[in-house]
Amino acid sequence: MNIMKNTDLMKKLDILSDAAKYDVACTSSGVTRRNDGTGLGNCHSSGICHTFSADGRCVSLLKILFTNECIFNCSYCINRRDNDIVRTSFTPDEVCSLTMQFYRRNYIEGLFLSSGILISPNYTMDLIYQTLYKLRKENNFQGYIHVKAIPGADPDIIEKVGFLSDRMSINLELPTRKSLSALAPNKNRRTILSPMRQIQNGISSNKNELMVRREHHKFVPAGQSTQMIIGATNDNDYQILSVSEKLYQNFNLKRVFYSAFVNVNMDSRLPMTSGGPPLLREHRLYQADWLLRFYHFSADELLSEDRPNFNIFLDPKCDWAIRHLEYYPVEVSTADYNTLLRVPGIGVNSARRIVGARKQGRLSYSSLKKMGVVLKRALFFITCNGRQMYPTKLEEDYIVRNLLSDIPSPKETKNMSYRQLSLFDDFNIDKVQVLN
Amino acid sequence: MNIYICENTLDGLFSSIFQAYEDRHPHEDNKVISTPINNYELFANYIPVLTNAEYAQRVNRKLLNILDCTTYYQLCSAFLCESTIAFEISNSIYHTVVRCIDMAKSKTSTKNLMKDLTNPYISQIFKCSKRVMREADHLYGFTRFKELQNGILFARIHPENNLITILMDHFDNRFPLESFIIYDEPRDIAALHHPHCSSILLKHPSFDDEAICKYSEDENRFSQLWISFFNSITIESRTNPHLQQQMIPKRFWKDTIELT
Ligand code: SF4
Repeated sequence: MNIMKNTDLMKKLDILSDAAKYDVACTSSGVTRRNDGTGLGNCHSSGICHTFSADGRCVSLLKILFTNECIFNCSYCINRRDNDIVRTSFTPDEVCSLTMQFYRRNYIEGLFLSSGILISPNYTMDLIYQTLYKLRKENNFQGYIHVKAIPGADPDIIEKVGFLSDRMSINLELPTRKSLSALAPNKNRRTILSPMRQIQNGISSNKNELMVRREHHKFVPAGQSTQMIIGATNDNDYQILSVSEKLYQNFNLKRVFYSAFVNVNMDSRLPMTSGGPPLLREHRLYQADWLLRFYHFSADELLSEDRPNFNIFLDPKCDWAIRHLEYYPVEVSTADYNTLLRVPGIGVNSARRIVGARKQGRLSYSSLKKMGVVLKRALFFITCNGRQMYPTKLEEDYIVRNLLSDIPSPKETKNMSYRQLSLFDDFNIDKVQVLN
Repeated sequence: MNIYICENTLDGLFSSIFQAYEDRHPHEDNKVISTPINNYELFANYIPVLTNAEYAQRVNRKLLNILDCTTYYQLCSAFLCESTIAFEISNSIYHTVVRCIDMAKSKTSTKNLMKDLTNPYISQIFKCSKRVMREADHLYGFTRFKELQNGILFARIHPENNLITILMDHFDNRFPLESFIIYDEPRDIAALHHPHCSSILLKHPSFDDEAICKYSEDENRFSQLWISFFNSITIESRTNPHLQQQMIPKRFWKDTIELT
């Protein structure tokens, strides 16, 4: 193996950030912490994007691997044991200095530290612990820290790290046991799910412990997230979305991230992704994920054994609406909040605004527009004071034809990312604006 | 029609509101303008108002008394908007303040006032405030500091709106132990922070041009490290300049070193 010792920092950063970039989670959200006046940094619950890379993704954290050496051999991963690549590792001091110096220039919100597995899971987790200890206690860093737990590390070291970080995540990698053992032979569901459960229990015991007074002694206050790779195996959208739903319900995850598969190793056992990574599919999953978390939809409503994959042309919410025309039209001046949420063109914010505004006075189509309702789509599904905006038919073919003339073709959806979904309250609005 | 003309500051606007109450003309017949006037109306009565800190303070206190902090914040941040959508925003704020005061008199809660988007004044305030806050959110992230030879962190910004006070609050809490300066170049205003002190705002700071261009030894090293990190984080097979530009509009690029 080609291990570089004493490499200069620039080279190391190059290698170890390049190796970390396929991890999609980069948000700095979920925790608010004011600076106590004795150190550097604070946290904003909604997160802050500091820049956007050429692929349009938000850069919020210094996202690096501690080392790209690895004793495991996951077939989708560039750092797998069998690959002949340059290997290097940071020292805890180097990570501290980069984080502090980047932070005070306002390049970043904090650190996202992941790692290959050096010697053993415990050995690596301990290096990560030392790094965070220095950063938090010696440098008094109060910004955001997201750490990847290493599958197979002991519970007590995971716990120690948890008390120093804001978010912890452990990647599920693949939605089914079968695909996991095929592609990541050294990992299994147990070594992934048991730390996930431990972190969940740690977070919930936060709430009971009165001893925990100071904010930054809390255990993983911003919650935990995970990531699945999309399109490396034959698992369908229904399987993936059902797994996400379970993770939200049973493991209380804050976010599930989806990463469109890129065949970095040109491994012939895996799909070649020559037409580019399956971005539209990733996009649909983010849309559906959004519907699970904020729109009270369930996976079974959106997909089923018989219809296991998302519609290419319609986003999941529109698709659902078209298949349930019996729920419409919705009268906006009386419908309850949850019913409003199911109208294409009405998002979380606009639904809230409608509920607020109709207490003050009568709604009209022009006021709906001001509240951010995308009338172009909503008009087929609503009445306002008993009247339609234009005479339209509540008929599947008719609506689909009209919607499609407005909706970007899948090629154009390439220009959108999940990040936009979280910036705007309703991806319907977003889509229309993006294309105009 | 009475048209109050005031200085383009929040104090100026609040002074006019005070004056309008003193004058006791019906509010529907009044207008407040704080930007230079191009078109004088023939049948209007123009009333110039001098800014008076004490009167302004009284209006401010009144508002703090009767409004919840979100509404108060929306009114004030809308005033900072300098986009074209802010045309005659002072007048909208004036009429909304009148409405708030009336509501307080009749003991109606103002909590849902800003939700009444059917009202054109409120709708404008809502939009302007949103625009300002959106730009502030951008600049929380896109502002870049460079370390000068004397250890001070220096950032230049070119915002659309006059929002340096919002940024100052943000960075005060974030970097309590640093000395830093944020400089709004087009408006020639600077926010100065020293450790353990509260920040101050300076108009026309007249910096020593040489001093603010001499960077510390570390500066070059860390900015190079950052740029190299920024470049290596891109996934080539997902390259999408269109999306990038949408997320970080071009006008911010000259101040973010990784993009210039
Ligand atoms: S354990 Fe992590 S770094 Fe190692 S090969 Fe698997 S995915 Fe890659």
